[in-house]
Amino acid sequence: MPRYGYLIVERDDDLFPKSVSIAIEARSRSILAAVERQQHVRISGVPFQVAPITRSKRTLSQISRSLFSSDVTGDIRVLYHADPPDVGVLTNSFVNTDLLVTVQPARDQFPAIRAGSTDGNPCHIVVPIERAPRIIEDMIIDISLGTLFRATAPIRELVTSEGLVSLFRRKAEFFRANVVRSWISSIERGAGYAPLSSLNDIADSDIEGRAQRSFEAWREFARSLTHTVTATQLERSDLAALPVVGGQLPLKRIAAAARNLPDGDYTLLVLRRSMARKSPSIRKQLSELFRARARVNSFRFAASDQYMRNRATAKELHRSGHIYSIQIVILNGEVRSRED
Amino acid sequence: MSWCGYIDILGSRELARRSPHELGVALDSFHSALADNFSTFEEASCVAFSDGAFFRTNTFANFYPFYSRVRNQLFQAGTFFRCSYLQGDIPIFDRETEDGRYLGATVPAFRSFTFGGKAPEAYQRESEFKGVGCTIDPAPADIVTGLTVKSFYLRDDQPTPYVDFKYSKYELSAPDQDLYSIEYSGQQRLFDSIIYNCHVSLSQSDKIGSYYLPSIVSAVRSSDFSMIDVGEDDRWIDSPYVFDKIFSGNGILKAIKEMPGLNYVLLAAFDHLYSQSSMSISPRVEKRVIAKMMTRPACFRNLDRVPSFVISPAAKRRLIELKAEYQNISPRKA
Repeated sequence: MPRYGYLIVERDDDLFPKSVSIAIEARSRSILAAVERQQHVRISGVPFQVAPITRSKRTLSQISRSLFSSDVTGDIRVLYHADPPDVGVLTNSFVNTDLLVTVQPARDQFPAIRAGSTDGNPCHIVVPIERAPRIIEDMIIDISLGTLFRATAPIRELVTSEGLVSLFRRKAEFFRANVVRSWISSIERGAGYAPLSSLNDIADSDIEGRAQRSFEAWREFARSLTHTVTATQLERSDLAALPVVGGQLPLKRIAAAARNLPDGDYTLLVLRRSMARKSPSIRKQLSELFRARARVNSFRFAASDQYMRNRATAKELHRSGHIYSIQIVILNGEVRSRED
Repeated sequence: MSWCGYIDILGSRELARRSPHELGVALDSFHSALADNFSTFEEASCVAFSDGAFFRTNTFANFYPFYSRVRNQLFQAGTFFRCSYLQGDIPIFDRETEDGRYLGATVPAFRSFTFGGKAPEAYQRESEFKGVGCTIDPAPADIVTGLTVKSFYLRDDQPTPYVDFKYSKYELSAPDQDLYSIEYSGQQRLFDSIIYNCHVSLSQSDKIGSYYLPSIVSAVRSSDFSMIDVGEDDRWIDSPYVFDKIFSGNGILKAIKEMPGLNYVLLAAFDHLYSQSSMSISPRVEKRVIAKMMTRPACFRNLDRVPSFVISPAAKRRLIELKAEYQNISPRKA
């Protein structure tokens, strides 16, 4: 089921044309694709749809009663509206949501993250109107990267032991400690969430730069959380000890990519046969794990929880020789074998 | 004389199957478009319910300001509809009963609307129309000029004529062009949205994709092809965006190449160019146009079966001559 972001605007607003929503989705996808390329990871994110809703001179309360109050309400993560929502709207319409960030346009104000109104609405972001697409893109990227990082220790441990609200609060604290790096000017002490992908001041159009800095912010955040390292200081990686398939594993590149990733359990996937001249069904299966038109010896680290979703596909492709897969652990940036 | 009709958004059943939540948002968008623009609909009444609406007004031209704004607001958002508009009236009968009204309830427990007069015919015309846009019971020639355009849709793979409302120059202009001003606040360009949604629909089914053919033909015939020429750099000059998208490199011929009836669009575009150039197109323009049409040789098959409301007999003759010239076939060759 996709996640949704809604822009509740009048029909002559600059954000109303559907083309604006399409552009926001497209740029977010480009940035996430750049992360996959740069970091050799596969982000099996949930699709995110952005759409306008005509305000049509109604209050947010009226719109919410009409659209967001039923059992079939979608998983809404971002709500853009001229006024901040009152607690009544949030508790009546979004009582079961894990996360809803409300965004409000404001003229002549610096962008700021303020405290939200409920646990489900941990923060309220105020931005100049022209930066509204940027904050929504940052939210989409943050949620998708969160899906990747939640599958790795120590974030998984944090969520297991303290819950999502605690994860969101820690992110807000990390953001506050590093806010000078962000295009957002300030964050209130009571804010319970902040998008780590906004922890940079890279130009909106710099896809590669935003991808790089978004991932780095999450990696730094993950490393800032205390966790127990049970292994003693490691002398060298087990990478060289991995069974090498026909001498073809790109060991140096795998090692370099691993140093960027947070500690955790992963499955290392390597493409052994080209996607060209394969049946559509094989190409589709391979595209679930690698990007389209990936070359032989392309590799991806799939975090454990993500990998479970594609496990059946990966096993079949491993059996047929299209890919090579092995369970590994990344610990302090080094690849170790994993005994299952 | 009263005029009336029925409008119904497309794809609501499919959307309900896929995502009830998204259906709710689409229906909200439909009702908002009607409500937001109703002030431009003079001497009119309209009852909207679920994914449809009946409406009526006192004179033909009253509908256009309302219709064109609703079309603009919905088409740019990717919500497409079909609409009928015909002479006659639709009286609305509203029944409610006090029986079973809950204590203190502000709305009756039971309420029913029935639509009389031309309502069944309006509904039938709408459902017969296999396209997006509005099918107008032939507008008498003396009523309106400049608001309507003759177009066609496919029924059982055959072109069927109908009359639609024109698109404005701004609606059909290119995104990066500032040649035309908007006519009202919030007006958007439409052609790219029509092509994009046609492309997406074709991946679901050819039949659904073919519903966009009449709107593309209406867009062609709403455009001015009379000034088109080819510059020294071999580019089109003074050519409307719709023309560019059909007869330039990465245009709609690639994006919607599987659309049933695309060949008829090409023939209609040539016909429009021919008729607007006073039956004599510049040779430079003809050369480039025929070269593009030759990339779809099926355009030229069984031309004698193509109705004259798609391409006139004179334009057809000229097209055949151009094809022979292009292929270097001369009647005088031994």
